[in-house]
Amino acid sequence: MKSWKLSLRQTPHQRIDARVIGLQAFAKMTIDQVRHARLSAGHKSVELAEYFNVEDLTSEQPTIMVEGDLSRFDHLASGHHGGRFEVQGNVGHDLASGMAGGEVIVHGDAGDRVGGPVDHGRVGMSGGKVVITGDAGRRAGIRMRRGDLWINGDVMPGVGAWMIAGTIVIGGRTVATGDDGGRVGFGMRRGTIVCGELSAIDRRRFTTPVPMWTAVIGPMLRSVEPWKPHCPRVAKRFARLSESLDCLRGDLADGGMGEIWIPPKD
Amino acid sequence: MQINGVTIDDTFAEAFDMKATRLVVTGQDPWWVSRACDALTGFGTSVIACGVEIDVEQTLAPDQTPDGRPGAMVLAFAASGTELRKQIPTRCGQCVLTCPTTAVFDGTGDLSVPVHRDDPVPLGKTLRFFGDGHQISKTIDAVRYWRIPVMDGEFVCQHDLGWFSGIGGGNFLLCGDSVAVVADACRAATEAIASLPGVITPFPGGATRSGSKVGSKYDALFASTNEAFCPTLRHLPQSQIDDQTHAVLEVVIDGVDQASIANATRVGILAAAMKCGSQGLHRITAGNYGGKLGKHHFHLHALLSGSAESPDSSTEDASS
Repeated sequence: MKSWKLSLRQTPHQRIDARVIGLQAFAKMTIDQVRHARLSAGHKSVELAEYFNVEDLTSEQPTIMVEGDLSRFDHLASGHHGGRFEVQGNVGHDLASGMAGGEVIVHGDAGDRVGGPVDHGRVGMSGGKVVITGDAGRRAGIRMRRGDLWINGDVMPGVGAWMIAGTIVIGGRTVATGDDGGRVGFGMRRGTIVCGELSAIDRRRFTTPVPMWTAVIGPMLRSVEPWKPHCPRVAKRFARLSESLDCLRGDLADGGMGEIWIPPKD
Repeated sequence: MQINGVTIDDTFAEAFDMKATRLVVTGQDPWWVSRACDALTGFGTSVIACGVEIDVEQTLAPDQTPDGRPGAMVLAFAASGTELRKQIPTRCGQCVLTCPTTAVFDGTGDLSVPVHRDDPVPLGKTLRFFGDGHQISKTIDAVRYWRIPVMDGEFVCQHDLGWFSGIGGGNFLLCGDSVAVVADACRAATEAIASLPGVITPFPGGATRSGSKVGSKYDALFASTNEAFCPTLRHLPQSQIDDQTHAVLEVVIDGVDQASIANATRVGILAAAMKCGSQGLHRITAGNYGGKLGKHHFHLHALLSGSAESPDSSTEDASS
């Protein structure tokens, strides 16, 4: 499979649906075809080359490298299911929506609904690993079904909402805009959310914290080791929890098989 | 050939292919790991009736285990893949799942022999049902683990284990003028072998007194006493016991490959001879069936003179 490097030439005035940018979509294209690929911009479509310089890349594994502030580009790495999708800069909403495998790395901040469903689908990412070195917006990991979502920075409310399974690790804070603690894991059925101290949690939906230790933290710690330079706070979070952790089970309104791991209160 | 006054017969040990796997058992401390392994490897001496030949290969420091706790590596050998897939979940379910603080992982990852991941040995795939719906699956770096709630917290195990073609039945026989001397020699040999990677000596203390031959006069048995080495049957024409010998014990070695068994045989024989050569151990020989039972042959003289070709060469014969 080919590898590509896309460098942003100019920042668009409107939001761009960039789901066409992907290893699988580009697999059978020539470099000219990639340059002429159409991006959706509202009711219009524009050529990819209008915003990006495109180059071939040589790499050990199939890779797309995108450079620039892509805050206005949504649906990047949508449906990604193999290889590496790396962004040097911020990204817009719906990063890695419907992703099924491979790796997505963002060296910057991400918008809302990272790893969520494609459009109005019912299931979010179903495999692979997403690493955000900065912050993430609202409802990160919404309806996530499998895979890993590591956010080195802070997350806005709604992380892990309606999560089906998988693992979300938050290196920074879970930001709360009201008195609901940021609605962490609201409606989650299964899966694990690893985070810092929760400012509040709905006690009707989650159990009280129970001290716990599990042997899977060992393999988790090992898996984060190669990523440490990108997400040191995630690595630190795992290391802290390997000593001791408190576990809340929930959402009790939806089976109560999900869990939130937090550091125990001193 | 003589080593420290002990005659080494010019013969060979005959070993055969087996299906094998390797597990890593971890626990809160070495004591609990040891208790789990005692149970896991119990009644695991011979495939003649135990299902698997299973023993601890080596103990592991916390930095050598997947979960950073003390552990042990366990090797298990079975006559068939079907038996291996039956025995491992049964034993882990009754002996490790039940043991406080423990967890089980696949230990085949760093083996030097080809490991098969197709049709793997089930572990959590079977044991998870003990969780009665409360079990949680977690996939980390493409490896699937099961977390089963138990009364001390969680039992964690891998979904399945890889398997490989191992070798069983490596052996050598120690002949001496008393049981006490031969038992000491056995102990010296198995203690020397215990530190070696890739091998186990699954019998009690690493040795068996009931060395067997294939077949029996009784139809129901497919193995029976090896009368050729029974001191009280020295009058039989097939006896291989000399006048000086009053006790024989057999050290049995299973290993991940031919090189491991060859090395263990050499180390074990040298240790026994050096310890008891002047005390009444006077002969070391090996068990074979004329080369018809197994394709792996370990010629004692060649192993001990260091003239053996690499076991990786095309021949299956460790001496040729």
